Amino acid sequence: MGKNLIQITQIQRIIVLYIVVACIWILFSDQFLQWFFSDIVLNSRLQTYKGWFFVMASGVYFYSYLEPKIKEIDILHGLIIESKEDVKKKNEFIETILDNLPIGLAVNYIDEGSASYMNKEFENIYGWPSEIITDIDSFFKHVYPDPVYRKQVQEGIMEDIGSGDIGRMQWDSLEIISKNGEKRIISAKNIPIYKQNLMISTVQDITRRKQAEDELKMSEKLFKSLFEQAAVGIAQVSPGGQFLKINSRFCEIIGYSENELLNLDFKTITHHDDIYLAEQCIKDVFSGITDKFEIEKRYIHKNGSIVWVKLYSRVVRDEFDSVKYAIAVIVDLTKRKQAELKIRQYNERFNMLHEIDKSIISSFSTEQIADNVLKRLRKLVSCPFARLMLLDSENNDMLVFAVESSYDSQIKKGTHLKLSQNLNIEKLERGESLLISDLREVKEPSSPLAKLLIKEGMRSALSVPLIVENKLIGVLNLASSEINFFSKECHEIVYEVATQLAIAVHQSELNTQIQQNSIELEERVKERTSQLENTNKELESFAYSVSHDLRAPLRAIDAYSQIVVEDYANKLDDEGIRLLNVVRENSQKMDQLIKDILSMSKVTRIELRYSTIDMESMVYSVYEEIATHDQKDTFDLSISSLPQCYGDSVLIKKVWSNLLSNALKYTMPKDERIIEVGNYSENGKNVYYVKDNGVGFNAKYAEKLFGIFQRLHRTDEFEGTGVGLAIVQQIIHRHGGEVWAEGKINKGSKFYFSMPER
Amino acid sequence: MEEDDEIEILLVEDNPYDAELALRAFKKNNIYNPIKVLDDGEEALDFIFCRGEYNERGMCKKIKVILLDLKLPKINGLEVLKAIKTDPVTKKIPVVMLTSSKEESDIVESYNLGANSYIVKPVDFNKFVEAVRDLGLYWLLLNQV
Repeated sequence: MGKNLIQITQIQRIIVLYIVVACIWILFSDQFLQWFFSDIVLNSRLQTYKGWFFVMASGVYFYSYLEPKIKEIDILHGLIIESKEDVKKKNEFIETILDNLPIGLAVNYIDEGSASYMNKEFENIYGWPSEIITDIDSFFKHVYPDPVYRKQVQEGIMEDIGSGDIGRMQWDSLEIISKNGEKRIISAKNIPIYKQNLMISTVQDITRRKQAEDELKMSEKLFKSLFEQAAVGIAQVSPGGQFLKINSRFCEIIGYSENELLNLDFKTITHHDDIYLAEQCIKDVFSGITDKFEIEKRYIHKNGSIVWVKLYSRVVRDEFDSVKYAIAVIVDLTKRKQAELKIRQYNERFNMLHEIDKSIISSFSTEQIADNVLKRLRKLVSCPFARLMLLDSENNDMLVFAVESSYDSQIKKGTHLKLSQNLNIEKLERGESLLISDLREVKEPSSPLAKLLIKEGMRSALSVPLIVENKLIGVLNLASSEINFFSKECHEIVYEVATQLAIAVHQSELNTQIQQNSIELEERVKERTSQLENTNKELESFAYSVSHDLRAPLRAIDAYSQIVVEDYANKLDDEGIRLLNVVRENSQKMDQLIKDILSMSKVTRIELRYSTIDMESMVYSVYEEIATHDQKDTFDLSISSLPQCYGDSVLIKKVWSNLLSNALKYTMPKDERIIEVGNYSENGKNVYYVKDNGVGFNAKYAEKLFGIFQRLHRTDEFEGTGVGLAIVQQIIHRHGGEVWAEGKINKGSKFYFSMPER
Repeated sequence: MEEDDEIEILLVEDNPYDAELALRAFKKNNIYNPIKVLDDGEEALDFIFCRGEYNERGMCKKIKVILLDLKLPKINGLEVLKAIKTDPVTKKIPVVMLTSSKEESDIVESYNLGANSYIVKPVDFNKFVEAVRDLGLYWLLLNQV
């Protein structure tokens, strides 16, 4: 620009010089000419030449002086045009930049307060176009619609601006409402250029940042409260095992304060049995096999107790994949573990009681039960010595019935102890237990066995009485090498077991007694049986000799009578022969009686041979066998279809034979002779019957019918010995059935027998 | 005792009446073979095996049948039967058991020991005669032919 201006002054100077020379020329050239040339004509001619000369001189002048200058001006002009475009481009460039700036920017005139420029972001942030926000008032009115807030903000801002202190001219976290009603948070800053009367306002939408910040704050707060108030213990642990950060729950579980823990490493507070496991897990993490692990382990509480925890650990790695730190989360399992232990103990208790019950039921010997129980009890209570003593009130002493110990105790099974040596027996008899928390403090050990226990290193002991029906039957003793070993719970268990054991021992003793009794009984039965067998044999031989010895003389009487009749008939009169025949008749009858008795005794003794019997065809064949021709012609026999039965066919045949022959015999006197054989089923038994319309019998003697030698008729009326029905009854009873009869004099009779259905 | 060697029927029966009745029955049925009646088991065994009192007798040359009562003094019928049937010489002699009852165990036992038949001694004399006649027909008369 400077150069341009210089060129212009030079041109002015040339023109001024020209004007000056031209004026002098005009004023003095004519004069000058008249001096030299007075001739008017010549003068006038010369004047024309002078004019031409002036023009030429002017032309040369201007040409020689102006031409370079004009050239320069031309160049300058070109430059000027060029620079205008440049400015335009630059303006565009700047505007593009300004419009794309992430910061809103506006330029105002300080005096008027009117806006001269707004970039797009500025409009974006406020949402109002520059046509609407023309001055400060309209700006505030639109951007802060709430009058109270607007007033507060506007006054504050104006005061800050008015102070002229640039440091005050920035405002953070202002809440504006954009045109679409959206709430935004902005931060603004003003930069005044007083010389140019300009105020540059910048604005930034920090809504998101603000939200993110808030969220971060919230989450930090949340994390902190989570970390601090978590129900689980959380610790940040360095790769070297040092605690970096610990929450209060962690401290609470382990019992150390945060400061104490910060100076400890994990190994110091880990149960020595679990260090190896923890180290293995840490090794896996460092070698990159895994990023997390969970284990159940034990810490040692500051007070020395064991704390069971579930440990969840996860490591955080840096960008080089090496472990930055680990987060350990621990859950206190002590209660759970204790509960588990308790459940296990309960289970074991339950099992043991069950086992005792089982042994009672399976009636094991007392020794077996005692050994079994002591073994289990000792394991359950985990003490080294258990013993069962049983009371022998007859001999006034106690017997060491069973001993179970983890070491080779001198107290042996079978040792006797005088009751008087046990000073505490009265207490035990009352059902009270004895708990000695330290044996060595007992001044006078109550028994030699107690002394022995002390010698064997036992320090505390528990004795629980076994009581049955308010009587002391024994004592269960436990001993431990620890002082004060037997807890209340332990006591409970032992008490329970003792109660059960008392029942078991008592039961088992009863069982033994029962067994002994039954053995005795069996022996007695054997003795009686053999006596009976002997008697039976005697009876058999009696029957045998009856059959032989009694029948032989009869045979002789009969045979010799006959010889007399045959060989001496001519020497006897009719009466003599009749008398001899009476002798024969009676001997034959006696023989029949003997035969019947034998038959009866045979039925009683014979072994039954069971088979399925077709009753119907049996009845037919028996009838065929025993009925005479005449009877078959005159009798009306009806047999219904009879079910089969299961029995000894020989004997059942005898039954039918007896019943049918009776029916035939006692119906003979009648003109119309009817026999009916039938059956029905009753109470799981088949009932068969033989009914006739014969002479019948007096119902009040019905029961007597089946007795041996019982007859309701005289022999001259009906033949018979009175054994048939007795045999029938015997046979049916042996088959598990019943016999009975119904009848009326002259109205026939009905004989029943029942047989179990198979 | 030469006639002892001629004995063809040996009747061992302790009851003299039964023995007499048996002999009468034989006679009535025309059986006249020489008969020896012995009344106890021991004597029967002595006779059969030519021992003791009968040691001069030739060993059971001609005995065709032995009628043996089950119930005998000293040695009972079953034992006598057993002795006869276990000796290789005598076991071929037919033995008929005489019994007064049908006591099954006796009969079964007799057959087990090798008895050839049995007769129940009936008080009914006619039946007894019939039985002996059957026996005579089968064992004696048949053998004589």
